[in-house]
This record gives sequence, C-alpha cells and structure tokens, in this order.
Amino acid sequence: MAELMCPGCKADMPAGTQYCQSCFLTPVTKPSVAENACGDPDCPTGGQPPAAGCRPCGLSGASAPTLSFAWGTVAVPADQPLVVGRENSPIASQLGDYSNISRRHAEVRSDGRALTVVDLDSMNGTFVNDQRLAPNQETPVRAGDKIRFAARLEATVTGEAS
Amino acid sequence: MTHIDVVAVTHRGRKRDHNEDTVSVAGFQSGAVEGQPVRFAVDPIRPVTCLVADGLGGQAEGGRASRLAATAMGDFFFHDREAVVKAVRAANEVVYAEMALNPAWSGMGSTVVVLVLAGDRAICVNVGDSRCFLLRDSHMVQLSQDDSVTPAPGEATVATVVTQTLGGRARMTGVEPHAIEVGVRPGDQFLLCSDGLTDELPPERIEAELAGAADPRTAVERLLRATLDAGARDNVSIVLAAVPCAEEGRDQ
Repeated sequence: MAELMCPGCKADMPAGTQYCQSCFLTPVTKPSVAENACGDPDCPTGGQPPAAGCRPCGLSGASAPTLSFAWGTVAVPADQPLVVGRENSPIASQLGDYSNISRRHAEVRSDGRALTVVDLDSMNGTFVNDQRLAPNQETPVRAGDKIRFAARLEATVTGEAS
Repeated sequence: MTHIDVVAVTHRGRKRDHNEDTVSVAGFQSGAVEGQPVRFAVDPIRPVTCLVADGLGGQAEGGRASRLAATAMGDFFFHDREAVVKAVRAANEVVYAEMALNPAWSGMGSTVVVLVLAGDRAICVNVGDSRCFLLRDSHMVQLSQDDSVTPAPGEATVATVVTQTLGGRARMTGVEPHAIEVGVRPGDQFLLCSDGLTDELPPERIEAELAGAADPRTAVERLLRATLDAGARDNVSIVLAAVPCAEEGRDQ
C-alpha cells in the first residue's frame, strides 16, 4: 500500500484519509524520493529542475558546478574535463607557487550536474576532505567538499544544486 | 476604518470529479477544484457584491454556466434592489446567448444567489436553490427563497429538483428572481452557500457552527470540514460575510 500525502502541505496522510484537515485537498500517493527530487507528483519537469530554476516550485536549478580556488572560480564544462597540473592545464599559470603539484596531477570531470575528481597518479596525492584518493579512480564530490591537490592547493566545490 | 470580512471557499466535495460551483467576492471569482478558504477585507465604501453560482450538476457544462453567471454580475456595484434583479435577468440572457454558440452547451444552467452590502442595507437576490442566510444574535434566518418543489409537511427539504434557474432549458426562458432587502446591523453575518452545504448539514448545525466560531475564517473551515466529513456528495461553496461589530469600530 503506497503511502499518501497532501499535495498542498506535503504532510503524510494515514491510509484511508479522505482529505487533508488543513488544506481540504484529496491526498495523493507519495512519490518515492529517488524518482522525484522535488517531491511534487505533478512536477512538470519530472523532478529535475531546469538550469534556470523551477518556476512552479521554486527549486533552484542545477547550475554548472564550479571549483573555487584561492584566486577565483574555475568553471568545469560538461564536455571538457579540467586538468589540474603544471603543464597543459588551463590553470597552469596560477600554479607557479605550488611546486609540489605534478605536471598532470588530477582531472576534474563534470556531467553538467555533479563533479567527479580523478587523481592522475600524482606524486603528492589528491585529497577530498583530507581523504587521499586512490590513483586513477573517479570519486564523486558534492557542493561544499574541499579538494586538496598535494599539500597546499585547495579548491571548494560550489554551484551544485544538491 | 472598518472592513467587511468575507471568507469564501469552493470545493468539489468527495464524490464529484469537477467543481461546477463558482463563488465571487467583490469581483474576485473562483471555481477552484479543491479551494482553500480565502479571506477578503473589503472596504464597504462601495457596495460589496458576493455571489454563489451552482452549475447544474450532471448536466452539460454546468461549470461553464455558473462561471458565466458569476462573471456577468460579480464585479458590478449595485446600489438598489432593482439593479440587482436586472443584472440577474441579464445574466440569464448571457447564459442563453452562450448556449446558442455550441449545440453541446444546450440546456446548461446555473443557480445564483447574490448578496449586496450597500451601506446599511443588504440586498439578497436568488434564482434556484442556493441559499443566503442571515446570522444575527446567534440566530439564523434564511433570506433567499428556494425555487424547489415544496416538500410535504414534516419531510426534510432535501429537494434536488429546482423549478427555476439561469439557463437550464433549451429555449430562452425568462426568470423571476426572488429579492429581499434588509437592514444591516453591526455584527451581522451573511452566509451564502450552494446546496452542497445545506443538503449535508441541517440548518441547526450550520447555525451552531457559525455561532460557536471565533472568527469567520474558523467558521468557514469548520463548515467545510463538517460537510466533507458528512460525505460531500455535491460541490460545496461557502461565502461568509461578516459586518464588523460596533465595538471593533470604536477600537480601531
């Protein structure tokens, strides 16, 4: 028996309830969280808010996730992984002071909604929230996670909807 | 400054899929499927028009007829009884005119009960079996006059047959609205409702709920809850207009 909820106040309704006592609405079957992120059974965008934000429910959209470094923010486009390193990297020019970064240290990939980070077998290691990553293994990171490359270079994941 | 407190709600009930009732308060109209009570604070400096229109259920396009009727007179400022009666007749013609546009809409119809609070006078005009009650000093009297078959003595007045409606027939037929004008006293409460309320709850129950509630909003919520609990076989619409008490007027 599926659980019921009020479509107005989203409160749980015991089975057999005819209407919500506060909203006077007919209960609907509660959607499972996995199938519908915003919890609205009638979500026109299927629970995944568009980038500009969801107009009906106000859920903020998934902006492209970015990495916030000490000198500024670096966007990670979905089709173009960001290589962190002292060579062939868009941010190589900023890494002059960080000599313990490898030439190809790590790679940050994006699918447009969330970021993953891969350590490219670097000498001094890549850390997520101070946990060293195994080399060449993709690790998902979420907004607020701190990625540290070698000893001093730190970046914070920002701009992700979840 | 004293305002007339109007709380209005319309709800499809528990048996019907659609809401064919329409409520209108001071020009704001709702036919929400499962509405919530909305509270209006209306300045009585201009005449305040409230109405409930109950589209003929189970017939073609009842909702369309009730919306039309409500739109035809919901946003006017009526100053006397004749003007309201005229507007109800005009609304009847509007419904028949719309009917002529599409053969499928033939026979659509709606009841209507209009309450106009114009200064110290209240004008109530109705066609059909939607009702208007006046609650004064915790006693409720019916102002509207039902267009239904008179029940045999001793029988309940759950009449489902209305003898007169706006529209409702295939051919243009005139209506003879019932009109009544009463004086308004501070603290008066006027209840407009569709038969979805009066068929489910006896008048004594309605009177008790109105008299026992602290404010109009609570009263309407209680009435709606009681109606839904009683089964709510028809669409239910409730408009409760509360004239401010004299004491409140001095306080503000």
